[in-house]
Amino acid sequence: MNIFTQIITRIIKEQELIIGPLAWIEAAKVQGLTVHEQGVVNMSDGNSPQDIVDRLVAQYERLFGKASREVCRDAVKGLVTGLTPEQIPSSLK
Amino acid sequence: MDNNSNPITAEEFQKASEQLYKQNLEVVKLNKQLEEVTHELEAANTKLKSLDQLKTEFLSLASHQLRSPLTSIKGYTSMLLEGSFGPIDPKPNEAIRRVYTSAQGLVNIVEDLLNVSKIEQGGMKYQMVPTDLSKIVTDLYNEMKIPAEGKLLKFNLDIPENENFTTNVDPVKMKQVFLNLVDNSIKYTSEGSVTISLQHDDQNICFAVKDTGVGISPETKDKLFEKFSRGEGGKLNAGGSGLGLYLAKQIAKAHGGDVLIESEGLGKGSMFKVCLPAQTSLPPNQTATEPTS
Repeated sequence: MNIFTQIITRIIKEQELIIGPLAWIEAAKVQGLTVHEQGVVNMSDGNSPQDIVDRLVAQYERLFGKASREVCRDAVKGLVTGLTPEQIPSSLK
Repeated sequence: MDNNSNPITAEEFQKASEQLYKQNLEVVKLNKQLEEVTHELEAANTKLKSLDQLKTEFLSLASHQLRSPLTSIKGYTSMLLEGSFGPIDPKPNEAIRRVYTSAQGLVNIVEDLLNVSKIEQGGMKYQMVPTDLSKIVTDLYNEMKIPAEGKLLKFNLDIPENENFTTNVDPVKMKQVFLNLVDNSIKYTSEGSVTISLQHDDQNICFAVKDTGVGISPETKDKLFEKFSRGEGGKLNAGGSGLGLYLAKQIAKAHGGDVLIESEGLGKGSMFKVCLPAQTSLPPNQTATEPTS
């Protein structure tokens, strides 16, 4: 699983703790992201992973406000340390 | 919709969603904290149980190691006092009597510790047989004459003749209970008398020890059956393990009975009574279970 898939999965699972299965339903609405059963996600070709992450974070923020953005950032703190500043999605900076 | 059936605005809905999200987030955080604290408590509990088990095992081991040499000291001094090795002059006799009394005290403490560790480990077993309690009490009276007379106390025995005091008990444990009570009475009585008696009381047989000793304050009475409680003994430096009454209660309850205390207060003596069913609900040669409290 590449790092961005890990980031996306971790964000969705963290949101799931707070809003339940709605986290997966909302994630499925994000352009460029496919959600399969049993919590597997795929990113479509032609979409930059950073943009997909930003769209996912924005999806939650649109519904639940700034608090949900903070939850996304906190969830992946450990994962983004392995990325260069240019690689980190803007929503997680 | 609000209470007046007006549609809720998108803004209001958004606000409500955000509020609910924040509350849920708070709950999740609290749950995580609760989980951490629970794990810490479980770890601490496991450690405490392990330490408690070690303590109990140590108590048992130490008591076993002490019992044999103490029994030997008690046995030989008793034989000396009885003249088995020939007559003894008064001064050495008095010294040997003190050794005997001290050895007796230590044996009692060791037995108490062993019994407490058995109870705590759930290993206390009772072998119930039909037993004539008057024989136990008479033997006890003869055994305790030495320490009682050593303190110049009047030591009396009151068992009605021609009455049957046979009931199902574990004779070894029951003698230990009676011994603890008599030993306490003698210890806490500096002058006057100690009287041990046996009587029928309704459906029960009651063994009682009455003394003219220090007495018991109302505040202390309720705590006397707790482990390591010393009553007024702490002030008197009277020795002992503080376990005798705790054990007496546990054993009496296992027999379907109880231990009662009567005292009019400090300086007015006291009476300890062990009342047992005249016929226990268990048939002879069956084990009793330990009390649940």
